[in-house]
This record gives sequence, structure tokens and C-alpha cells, in this order.
Amino acid sequence: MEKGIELSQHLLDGNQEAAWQILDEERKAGKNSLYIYESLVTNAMRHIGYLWETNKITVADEHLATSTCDFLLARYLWQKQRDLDAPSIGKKAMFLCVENEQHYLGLKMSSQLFSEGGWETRFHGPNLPLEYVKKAALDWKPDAICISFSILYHAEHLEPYIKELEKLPNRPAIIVGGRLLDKYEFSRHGSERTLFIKNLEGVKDWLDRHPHGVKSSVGY
Amino acid sequence: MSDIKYSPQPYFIIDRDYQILAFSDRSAETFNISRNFIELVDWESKEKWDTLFGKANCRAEGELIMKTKESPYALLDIRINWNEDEGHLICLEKDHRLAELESIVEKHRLRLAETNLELLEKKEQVEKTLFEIKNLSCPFIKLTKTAALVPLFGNLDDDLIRQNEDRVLLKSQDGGYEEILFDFNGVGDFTNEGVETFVMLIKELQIMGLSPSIIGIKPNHAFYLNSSNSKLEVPFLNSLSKAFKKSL
Repeated sequence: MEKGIELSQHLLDGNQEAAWQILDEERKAGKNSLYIYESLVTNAMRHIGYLWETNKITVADEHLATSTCDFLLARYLWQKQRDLDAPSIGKKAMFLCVENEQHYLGLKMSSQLFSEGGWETRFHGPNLPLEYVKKAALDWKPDAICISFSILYHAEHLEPYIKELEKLPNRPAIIVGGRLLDKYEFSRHGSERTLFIKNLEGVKDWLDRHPHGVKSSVGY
Repeated sequence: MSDIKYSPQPYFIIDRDYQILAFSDRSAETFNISRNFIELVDWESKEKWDTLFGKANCRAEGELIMKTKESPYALLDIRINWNEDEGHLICLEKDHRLAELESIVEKHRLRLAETNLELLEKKEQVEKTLFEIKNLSCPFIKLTKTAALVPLFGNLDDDLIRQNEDRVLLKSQDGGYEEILFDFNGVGDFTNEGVETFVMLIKELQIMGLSPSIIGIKPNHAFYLNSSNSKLEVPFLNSLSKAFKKSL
């Protein structure tokens, strides 16, 4: 957690280089992506949430930290892909947050785990209206569509998203994630086919178990 | 009630159990007023409310997520002042003020999604190299016990002088020099900011009791030096050999 706290300070300062040094040291020390995402990045962002709770920072500070973290994750994936050179497994996944949902870093880390696993990914980011998702999915025909939400109030969007996307002709797997899944049960919003994954460890487990037809040589 | 009715912001008076005793018209415009103030606070902000604002006999201010008529998840700035058993509360809507920041963050996100990180890394490497080149473009060379030569290379801009001025000042002082010869033979173009910063450096050396001289000024350099806001009062020599003879 200490490294997470140190990272959170750099993110709040908008210091991309210092933040990258922390991640890069762990990467060079052989830490896997799951560790980097969960123990460093997620803990850093949780600590930032705690600082807001205790009135030490404002939402404006959080926005700066998010933006810096976004850059950090992009740089990490780029570096990781250069190191791994993971072969494509011929599967496609798209990632999006439900309408009005602005918290997208968890979704971004999930999409990066998919990329590292050889999936072709499209990251649509926060606040994607259903109509747009449907059109994009009809055109691109992804094998999986990953939906994220972090605010309880936004859970009401889940049902129409899941219902409409599961009806798509190529029958993509619909995967729902977000920090609240660890605390509450949301399966009533989905069908028997819908997958609810609680955390990044769950994402990695699913990727490892998923029958993609090509034995993956990727080590996270 | 009448005292606070016309408050220009949502205003509440609450008791120790957070029951709403009175509120302004703006409060009723902004919130669906309930009996207890805590019902207006988002469930994930209730702990923050309790620890920060709920303590009696104190003043506090901070952000809170609340349920307004416009949004069930609105960001507000809360200020509270407890007077005996009554809390006086003002709620300032903040979402619209953050909209601009959010749009900038979103632009950064989209820009990042389009960024070729390989090119970005190359750009950073080039910037680092440029920094190192500028450091090497202003060497400090000891000529005699009392004279030092500082040949400048490249364009005379703000960065070239700012990056090197501390080193030049420190070496000039520590070496016990009397004369510092700035050689402009290797300088290409000038910028106005570069000239101003260079003039400042010369003046600092003069204040330290040193005698700076300038060698190898070309006609296009003279134009910039003459149009500078502050004039240089230093000897101008046309070659290093002359300066060297003079120094010896």
C-alpha cells in the first residue's frame, strides 16, 4: 500500500514522470500486470478517494489524478506490448461505461489485460449511450462487450444495455464490472448468460479459462 | 424563516439530529426537501458528512455529493456553522464550475487515445538530448589564473542562458577570476528573450566585481544587442587573439 500512496501523490501532482518511475521499477522487478493494476494503480486511486472523503483534496484534484493515471496506463501497456509481443488470438472485445458514468480507469485496466492476452480491443471510455454502443457493436462484431459502472445510481442503466446487447446477431459475451460488484449483488439486472466480474483478478481468471482456440503464451 | 427566505444560495438551518428547521427559497428550487438533511446526501457521502460537518459547535467546509432535482449525484460545496444546537448550512452547486475542467480532461483522454506513444517517447528523447546539447553549448574554459573563456554555440535563446547561468556564475566566483570572455563566434540567431537573459547574466557578473567582455559579435547580433531594453556596458572585441593578448 505504501507504494500506492506514493504513486497517488505523484498522480495528484500531475507528475507523469515520477509516477512512471514507480510503475517501471515494479515492472523491471518482474511484477505482473495484475499486481501493477491492483496493488499499485487501484490502491493509489482508492487512496485518492480516501483523501477526498477526509476533505484533503477536491474533485478537481481527482480529475487531474485521473488524467495523469490514464497516461500512465497507456504508457504501461505500450511498454508491456513491446516486451511481450503477444500474438493475436483472433478475438475482439469492446469496452465502455454506461451513460453518465465517468469513472473509467478500472475498465481501462481490464481492457489492457485483454490486450495483453492477445485480444483486439476497442476502448470507448466513459459515458457511452446505448444507441452508440449498439451501432458500434453491429459494425465491429466483438466477441465480448465489457460494461462498467461505479455509481450505484447508474446501475439502473445495466438492464437495457445487457438486454439489447445480448440480442445482437453474433451473440457477444456481455461482461459487467465495477467496484460495487464486490459489495452488492447485481445479477438481477442481467440474464443467465451475463457475466458479472468483481475485480481484475476475476478478469484475468476469465481470460485464462476462456476457450479462445489458441494456447496463449502470455504471462501476466 | 423570513430571514433566510431570500438567501441567494440554498440555505438550511438544522438541529443536532439534522432535522431541517428552516430553508431558503433557493433550497426548495434546488432540492426535493425532506424532513432530515441527511436524506439529501448521497449514501457514499454520509460518512464524510458525519465526520466533517456533523460535529456540533464547529465550522467546516468541503465537498459533498448530494441529490438535487437536476441530478441524484451532484457535487456541492458545503459550508456549515454550528451555533449551540443549530447548524447554519449553505450549499453551493459546483457541477457547472467543473464542467470546463471535465471537458479539458476529456480532450486529454481523447488525445491520448490517438497518441502514438512511440513518437511521444522519441519526442521526449529529443527534448532530453536538446537539453544536454544546450548544457554543452556553453563550456567554461580556464585561460589564465584570472581569465576564463565562455564560448557560446547555437542560437542565443532564453533556454541557453537559463540552463547555464548558475554554472557560469558559480565557476566565475569560485575560480577567483577577474575577466570572463564570452565568445559569440559560434552563435547563430538571437531571440529577444535570450538577449535580455544574457544582459542580466552580464550585470550579475559585474555586480560580483568581474569584468565580462564580448568577442566575435556579428552585424546581425549587434542589431539585437542595440535594440535591447538594457544596454551592455562591456568591451566588445572582434577576435579571441585580441582578447587573449589583452588578458595577458
